[in-house]
Amino acid sequence: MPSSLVQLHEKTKSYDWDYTFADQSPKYETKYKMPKKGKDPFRVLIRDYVKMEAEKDDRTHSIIDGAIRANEISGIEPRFVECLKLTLPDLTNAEFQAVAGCGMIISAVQSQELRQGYAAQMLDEVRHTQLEMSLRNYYVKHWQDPYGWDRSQPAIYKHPGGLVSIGEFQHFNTGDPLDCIIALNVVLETAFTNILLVASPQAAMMAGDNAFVSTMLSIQSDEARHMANGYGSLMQLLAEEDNLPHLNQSLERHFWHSHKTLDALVGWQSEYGTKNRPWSYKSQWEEWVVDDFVGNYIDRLSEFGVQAPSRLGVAADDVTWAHHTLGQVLSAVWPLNFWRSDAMVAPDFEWFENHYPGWSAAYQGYWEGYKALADPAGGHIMLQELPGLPPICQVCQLPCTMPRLDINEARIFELNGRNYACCSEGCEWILRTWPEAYGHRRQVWEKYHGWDLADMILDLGLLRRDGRTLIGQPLIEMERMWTIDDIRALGYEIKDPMHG
Amino acid sequence: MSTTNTKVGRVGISLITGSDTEAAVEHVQETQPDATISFRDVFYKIECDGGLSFDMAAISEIAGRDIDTDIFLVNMSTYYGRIVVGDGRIDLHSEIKPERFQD
Repeated sequence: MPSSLVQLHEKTKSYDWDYTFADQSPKYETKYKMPKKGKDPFRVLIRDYVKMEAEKDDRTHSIIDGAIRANEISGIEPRFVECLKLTLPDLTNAEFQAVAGCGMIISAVQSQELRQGYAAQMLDEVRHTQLEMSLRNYYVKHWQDPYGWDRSQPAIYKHPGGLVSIGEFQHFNTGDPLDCIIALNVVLETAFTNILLVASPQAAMMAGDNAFVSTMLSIQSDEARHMANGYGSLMQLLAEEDNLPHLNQSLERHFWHSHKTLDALVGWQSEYGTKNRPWSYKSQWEEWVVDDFVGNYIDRLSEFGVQAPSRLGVAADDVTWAHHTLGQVLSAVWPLNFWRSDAMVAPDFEWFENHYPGWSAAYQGYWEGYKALADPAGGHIMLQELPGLPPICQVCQLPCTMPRLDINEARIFELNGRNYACCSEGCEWILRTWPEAYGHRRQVWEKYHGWDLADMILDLGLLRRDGRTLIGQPLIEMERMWTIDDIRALGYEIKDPMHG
Repeated sequence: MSTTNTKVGRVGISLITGSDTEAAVEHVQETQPDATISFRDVFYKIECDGGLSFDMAAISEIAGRDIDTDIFLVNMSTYYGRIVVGDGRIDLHSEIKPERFQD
């Protein structure tokens, strides 16, 4: 056996064969022309892959074990773990959607090297799902308030915040398999996971959660190979000039959708899920997305005709406010949450205004009012103060209050005989261009229109073991927690803003 | 919106903080003094105009134990630029189409 990786990798390729016992044509049709020749920058061989991943797993599980031994969880900032009850299951959803996506991609990619790269990626996605479930097992067994962790898996399919991730990650395995590569490998894993899995662990370290830090950084070490799969595939597609219009349109679509969802959710987790913030989300976005992804990757492909997303400037403006607005909406609907929300207070106000000038004028009054309504003895919630529930964007599933309530870009329009709400011009363009992919979703408010809020909570299964106390609460520290009886006494009826 | 021009032609790598990574950082300081090394608590971000190279034999010598490309990649969280994994070395190229992708 050759000792050289380069020689061995070349020799391995000589063992490829054509099928004689089955139809090798891809199961899913593609509009792209995919040349057979392609390169895997990592030269992945299963022997080396298994060795590497076993080492990663050993290291990561050792750290989780150490965290249990040292009772590290007692020192974690509560806001961090409470917000994770939403965002970690959202991430796990991404992983198992990607498992299915890789199956589609492998069947569509004819290059032996790239198939090998995607086969390793498929195993990676399974590994990530398992690692994240280990982390969730750690939280449900050791966190001071385990409620919500036990409901998080079914809840993400019903909760507005969970449906944001369902809408985003379906792109990994829906539609043209080579568009799945653009959505998964080129856009999400190259542009956006760096903030989620590399920068955010720095915030987690400051919040005291070393198990999370090591798990996410280990997961991202696999994402690095997935970025290379995306690069190898992209270079292969660019060898055929006819692919260029499809590729540019796909890049435009998935950059916008990923920006809307990931920036809102990850920005919210990293700034509203802690008290000690190492940086502003916007500064991280400018570094990892604008400079590293667009500047040093997509712009460099311009000589092949690749165009940087035309909505990059709009996205940059959005990033200033979108996660603050999501924080506002998620706290306003706290009775429907499967985590404890928390009020922003004076030190938070100062930090936000310093990093996002204008924040105080837009949000501080809301948070002061929110805190004043936290005690169930007051018999009032923020939802009752609002003129109505916000429409949900038909494409990205975020509330149509983006990027900020007073400068929102919501639009309601008719398409194919039905009224739709979209949060932005970018989402409207996506819906109008791919109506079959997005037009059939039924939004959460529509399903519960006319229901009492208490009945919606019961339907979502959001009570603690006593059968009375809500899992969601408006503050981390409550003298008395809200019960279903408190909510029933409000007489709040869910009204779908798109009804009628 | 335009990107930051000073970074075009630059490559970067993020290594998880630990003893293997400390050896890699020392290796970069010795062999590529123009590289910018940014310590971010849980990881190091190393960036350099033109490219970055990591020689596993040299890193092993500093670490005092064998570190091959597989173990190096255990510690690599992410990168930008064009990566090529070869025999005992890992290179990051600033060109959009390095030699391995030319044919």
